[in-house]
Amino acid sequence: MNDLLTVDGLTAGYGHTKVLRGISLRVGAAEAIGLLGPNGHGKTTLLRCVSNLHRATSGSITYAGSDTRGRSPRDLVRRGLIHVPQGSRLFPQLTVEEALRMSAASSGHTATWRDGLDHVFTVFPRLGERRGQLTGTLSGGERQMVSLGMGLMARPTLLILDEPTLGLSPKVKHELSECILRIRTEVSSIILVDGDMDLVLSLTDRYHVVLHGDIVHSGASDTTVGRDAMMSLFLGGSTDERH
Amino acid sequence: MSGISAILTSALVLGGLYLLMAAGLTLIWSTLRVFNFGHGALLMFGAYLSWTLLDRAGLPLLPALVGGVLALALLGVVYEFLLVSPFIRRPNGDMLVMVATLAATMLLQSGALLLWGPEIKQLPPLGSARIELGGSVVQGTQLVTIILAPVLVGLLALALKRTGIGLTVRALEQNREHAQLLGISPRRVYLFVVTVAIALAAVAGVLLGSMRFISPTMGDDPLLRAFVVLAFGGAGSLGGTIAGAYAIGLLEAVTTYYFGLSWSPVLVFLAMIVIMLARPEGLLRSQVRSA
Repeated sequence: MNDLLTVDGLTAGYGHTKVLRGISLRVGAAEAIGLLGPNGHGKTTLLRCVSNLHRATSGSITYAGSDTRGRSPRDLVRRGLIHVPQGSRLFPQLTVEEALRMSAASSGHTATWRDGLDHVFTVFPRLGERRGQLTGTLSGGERQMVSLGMGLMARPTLLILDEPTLGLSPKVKHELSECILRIRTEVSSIILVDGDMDLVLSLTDRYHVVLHGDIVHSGASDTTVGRDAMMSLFLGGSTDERH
Repeated sequence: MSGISAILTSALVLGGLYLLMAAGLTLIWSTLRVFNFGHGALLMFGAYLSWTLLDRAGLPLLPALVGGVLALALLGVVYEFLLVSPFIRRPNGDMLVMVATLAATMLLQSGALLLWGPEIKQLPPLGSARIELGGSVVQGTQLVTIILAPVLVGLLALALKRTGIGLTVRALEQNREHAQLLGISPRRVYLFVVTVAIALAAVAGVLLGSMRFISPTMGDDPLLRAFVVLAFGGAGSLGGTIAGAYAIGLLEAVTTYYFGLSWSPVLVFLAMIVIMLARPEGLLRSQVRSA
């Protein structure tokens, strides 16, 4: 039981709409897992529950050996659980450098923020060139880099990435994938959600397919995955392949 | 010539007082999306607390005034715990908080009447300096107001710009959910913001209590003027607030000089209504944004 994160029988929803139906998963120390599946099936809700931004109806979440119920998102951040949300419009009136510095301050790394900044600029050289620019004026790809960079400033143990390449051009997507690959070697554990199946499979150790609020298929990312089988799952194929 | 310098002095003094009030209200508005109706009553309480430390506890002037401001900042912590945090996260929480701050106004005003009685009090002038400027005389407290108000609000703006806590305040204003994911606790930010805003109101109370009188309703007028400043400068931007405070101070000084004390508020509020009709987002909003 050396899991960093354990999600057990989690249900959650919004009002009367049930989104998660008793989902369970675990993330080991030094493990990267990918979540695949169509939009609107609960991946983001699951991640929001893990970082305590959304309250689950039932089930439990254990992070680094303790139940996260009742803990504030701040508390989890300070223990290294960092969630980089989907499509954030960031902080339009903060410059790149201010946003990065702010993340160091809010996660309790004020004293070493300059080291963090150097590191982020090594991973994302483009941000170094744009350090004085307001984040509201950046391109989509650059915004995503700032978002990831803010995550790195908080020194994550478990880094949750929700759709980091959403809406990016193939070229920018490729550039960002390279960066995530570099991050992969530095952060202990990662949960990656992305629409780009190949990216997820190339960056993770294991993957789950989430459909209708539950995991319907799991596997090791390095095995040759039957793309056709996966596509049929995505497109509403049978759920008999449940493991 | 003496007319112009008198108007300018008056504009800087009034502008400074409104700035101290409106800067706090702006800070609270931009983070909590709430208008703190209790701000005027808190100003009044700050003046009474300083008077008590001076007159009853027998402290020297400066420690009494600083003590009064600090005591009110402490009251600000209580204010946040009792009136803001229990309500703000509920559905329609902003409305509940505003009603709670209205209730607090009544409570503080009645409390002041019970504690200190109906007779009007006054703080002594702050310093005996008298400066002659082009025929008009600037007295101690006025001089302190002219200097202290922009310095304090300038320090606040600098803190928001440069310090870690300042960055977290601005981040929460701009993207609440992402801010929380980065470890920013709204509770802590609210506490900081409310305490700082109330301390600034206390400074205004002390200055006003020395320039004019201390009474349970002394905060009503400055609160209403701060309203106008927010309408003018656009609630939620400190730059707009600074410009708005001095613009309203100038408007009031000019109208008082040429039309008399009783016409001045009429014209000031008329200006507010016109501004709100023409530019509901604040007269200076867009310019400040792009700056």
